[in-house]
Amino acid sequence: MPTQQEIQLLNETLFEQLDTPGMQKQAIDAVNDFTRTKMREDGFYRRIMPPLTITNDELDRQVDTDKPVKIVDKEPDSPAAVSLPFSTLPINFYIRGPRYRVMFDRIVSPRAVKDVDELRTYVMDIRQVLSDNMIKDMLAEEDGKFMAAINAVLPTAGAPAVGSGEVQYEEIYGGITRETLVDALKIMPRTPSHFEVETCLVNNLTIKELLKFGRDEMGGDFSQDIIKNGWAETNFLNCRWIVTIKTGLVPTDSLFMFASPKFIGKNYELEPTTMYIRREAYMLEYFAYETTGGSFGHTNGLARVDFK
Amino acid sequence: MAAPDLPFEHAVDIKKGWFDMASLDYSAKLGTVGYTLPRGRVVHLEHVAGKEVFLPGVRATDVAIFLLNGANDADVANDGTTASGKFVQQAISPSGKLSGVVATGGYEIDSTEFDSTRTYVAGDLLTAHLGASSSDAATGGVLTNASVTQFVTPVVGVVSSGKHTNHNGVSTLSFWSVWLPGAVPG
Repeated sequence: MPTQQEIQLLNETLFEQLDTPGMQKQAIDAVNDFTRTKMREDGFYRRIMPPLTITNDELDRQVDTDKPVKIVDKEPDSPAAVSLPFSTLPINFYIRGPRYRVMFDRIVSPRAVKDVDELRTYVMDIRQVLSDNMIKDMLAEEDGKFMAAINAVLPTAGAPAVGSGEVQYEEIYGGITRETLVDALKIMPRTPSHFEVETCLVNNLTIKELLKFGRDEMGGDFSQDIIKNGWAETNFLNCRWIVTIKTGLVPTDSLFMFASPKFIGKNYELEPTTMYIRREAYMLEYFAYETTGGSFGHTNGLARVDFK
Repeated sequence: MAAPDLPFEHAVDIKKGWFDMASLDYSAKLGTVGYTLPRGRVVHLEHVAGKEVFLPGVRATDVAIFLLNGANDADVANDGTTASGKFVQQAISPSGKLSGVVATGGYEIDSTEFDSTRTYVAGDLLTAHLGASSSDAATGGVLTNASVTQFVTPVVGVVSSGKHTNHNGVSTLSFWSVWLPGAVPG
């Protein structure tokens, strides 16, 4: 935690960089370091599907648009092997590999405008103030798009998913118990892909149901630890558990399950989070932006349970 | 396979007034429209089920928005199923939002989306008809000077240099954006 003197020094340094012609880039870099770290820590989309940096050379040019597009190959299905008697030849199948497209758009924060003389009166770390609200907005937008895509794949409890033909969104009655949790983990392996759940996503209210587990349900000292210290992100049921406070996106008593990202799709980062800062006379303006693209190429690695 | 679309086949060029950080543009998702809305069409903002959406054309007092993106643009949509319903992908991005410039801004616009059978002269008032069903594909949000009565029909623009063939060989109409509310829908 920097001291107040250090914070004022940081603010002065930022102003000096903004005042010096050609130094805007350095001021931007100073904020960028912080921005990227927060983004990785806080957005659950990025923790479930870590962003992959993509360069111009890796984009796939299209005839009908000059906008960035990436085409990703999918593992093809193949006919099953069969047993045959002697003197019989195998059937032919022509190789056709499916592909899917990842398209990109930009996420921008609102553009803030402020008179620099009013900023001089702050004694907090101004770089953090400048970026915090914007990061929150961008994280919410990223996570919101991610959840909207999941809800599009798994729109209704009990309905078979388009990709697998299996029910991947179920309602399980009996509340959150050791039995119902284990039943939830059976949904994904039931699909033809047989994936196992790698990551579980719940909100901060749902996770508290697990605090109620006794020693007989949770297992020995682990039960004692969480009742004493609360839930910390940990492996449980051989899954990584992510807890979010975004209850508007992840409803209470719902559990979202994900296979390894390599079985789900791609999350590309074409332009990393960048803070644009410009000072004109005494007016300062700034906003953050990023260009990302993501698609689920295969949905058998997604599952959801609503505990009733 | 659908015929490819050229980036300039349906488009608006903003000849004056954009791009600038202070430009008046607006973004929203598209409402229920029974056809693929191309770039350049005129839309208005409407609240449907509590959400802001764009719909083609203008009602009496709607402010026109000239679309910079089409409904099928690569930064708008990435449809994920085949015609028979087979899964290809589910887009996480783009989000489905389209963007356009708002008629109250000071723009001179060159648009491919107008009734090219009409004659246009400088000063003609333009409107854009409503229409979101599949039968409206040719007219929904398309600019026209037909039957436009000042203070009765909502006006979305005034013709500047008029109809011409642009450098891409596409017929376009140049006009200034305005907002003059009417008494009846466009």
